[in-house]
Amino acid sequence: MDWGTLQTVLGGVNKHSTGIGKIWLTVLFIFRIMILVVAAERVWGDEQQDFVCNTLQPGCRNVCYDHFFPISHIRLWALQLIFVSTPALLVAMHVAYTRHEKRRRLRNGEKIDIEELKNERIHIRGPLWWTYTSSIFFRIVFEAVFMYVFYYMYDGYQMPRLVKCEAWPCPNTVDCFVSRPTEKTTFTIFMLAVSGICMMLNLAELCYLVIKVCMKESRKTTVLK
Amino acid sequence: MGEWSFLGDFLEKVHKHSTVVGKVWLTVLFIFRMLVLGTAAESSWGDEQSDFMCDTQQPGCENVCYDKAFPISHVRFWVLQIIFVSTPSLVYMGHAMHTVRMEEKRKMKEAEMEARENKNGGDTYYQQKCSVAEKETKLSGWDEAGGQIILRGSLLNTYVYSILIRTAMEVAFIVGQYVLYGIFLETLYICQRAPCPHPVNCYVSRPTEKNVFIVFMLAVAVLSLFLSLAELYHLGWKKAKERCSRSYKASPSTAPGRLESAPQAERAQMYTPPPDFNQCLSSPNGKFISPFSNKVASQQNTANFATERVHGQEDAAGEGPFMKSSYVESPEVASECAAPAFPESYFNEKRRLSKASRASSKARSDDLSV
Repeated sequence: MDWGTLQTVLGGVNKHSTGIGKIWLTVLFIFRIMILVVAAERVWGDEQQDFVCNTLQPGCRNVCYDHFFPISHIRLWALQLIFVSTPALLVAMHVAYTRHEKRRRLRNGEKIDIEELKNERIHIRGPLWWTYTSSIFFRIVFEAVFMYVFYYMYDGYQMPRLVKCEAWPCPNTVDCFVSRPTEKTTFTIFMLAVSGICMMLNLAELCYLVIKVCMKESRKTTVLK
Repeated sequence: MGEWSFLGDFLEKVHKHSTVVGKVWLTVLFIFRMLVLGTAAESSWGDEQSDFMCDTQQPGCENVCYDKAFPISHVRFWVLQIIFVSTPSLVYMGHAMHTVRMEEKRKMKEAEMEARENKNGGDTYYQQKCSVAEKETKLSGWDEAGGQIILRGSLLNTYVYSILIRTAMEVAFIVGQYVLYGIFLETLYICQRAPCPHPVNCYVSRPTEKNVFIVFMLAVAVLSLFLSLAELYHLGWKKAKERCSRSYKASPSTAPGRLESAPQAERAQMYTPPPDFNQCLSSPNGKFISPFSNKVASQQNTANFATERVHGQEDAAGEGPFMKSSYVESPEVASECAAPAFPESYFNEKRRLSKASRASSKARSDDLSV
């Protein structure tokens, strides 16, 4: 899976983020995407091969694996990371649109250096503030939803060592053994913890933005008075 | 190694703004840990479960025995170790970038103030600059000419804390590895766990090759730990030495460290400073006064302020500067009061001055470019 493209896109958004936003991005790349690619994919690599059932019935193992792992952790995490990163694209689009408008206005008026315009840091104000805040809100929602989906699908966050399977064509209740359950539990809890941290960061960023705007408004009203 | 590029890119930036020992540590991390892990160790542990054989036909017994023998694979353990050990450097980097941004903002404000001052006339010139400089002592850490961050004040504290945490992580992971696996892997693992009907002999895949890598990674971890401790010692010793020297000296003599960075052009100016100049200097954040002035104080008559400063600079050249610029006291006041942060040329001048150069190795900006 090529995460480099995502890094390029999000790197652009990083320039216009708040400090907390930058920390969130770093945590996302190093503690989630990197761990997923470097470590977790190896751990889940042989999950079906080494899923062993105490039966000689052909097809029973396949069916039992499918029953207990409708969607693998790895794929779920990849989806989670994509969904959580996507709101930042809204911000990127808004910034690009703002730049485009600026360029159009300036083309009609004075000349300006295009490079300077490209590298100019746009402050989070006005409509961009709304886009940015709603992107953070959606991020939080997606994180929470995926954390719940994990909990619901796998009955908690611990990987069982033994699962009992009764799906057809297994003739009776069959013992099936999961591959590397302890290691998988370790990484599941690690990814859960990092999701929690990311959610906290997003909440903090949201509070920071709201408080900043409130303070600005209160300053304006005192000045007017 | 492409998978490590996320972390690698961040650490490249840290590399630019580290001390000499820090750069060595980063190089060790890149080459002996990340590269070895990514290329050699991964392929060695590739078949760790598929070739983990148990002397039983009981279905599921091999799975559970493998899980009991290796709760977390060595390779994953080392990946987590590298990530956790690198994390404090990222925190320091974040602080450094924040400092740089603050410095840029400060410079903009200063430029505005200067423009205003020039309009009003130069009467309050020094006072204004000194008050700006005092504010700067907390924020400034950026050497524009050299493009390097100077470690002082809160930035230095962050750096020290990051090294402390890094050391703690390193120790924790080394101890953790010992607790989990001991030092060496045995070829034979005897397993008793349901559904295995009785104690079962299980055979680990490639134990000797794995042992070689385990010992190698352990040695590199110990080396990294040693480098972190050396860096801490270097920082701590300088600090303690300076504290001792300060307790012997009278207060005016604490100034020399701040003026180390004075370029030659401004030295004549500083020999007869204006009255408020000393006031600027007497508000120390006082963390890292020149470590070299201790020697100076014991050897020289401290009554001659200017002479002491010159010798302080010479000594500084002999001790090997800290990262690219030398160790300066944190309240290095602004150029208008004392000196700008080190320009490139300054170092060359210092070297010419100190004839009996005691420098064994001087930090250069491209010391250890990875």
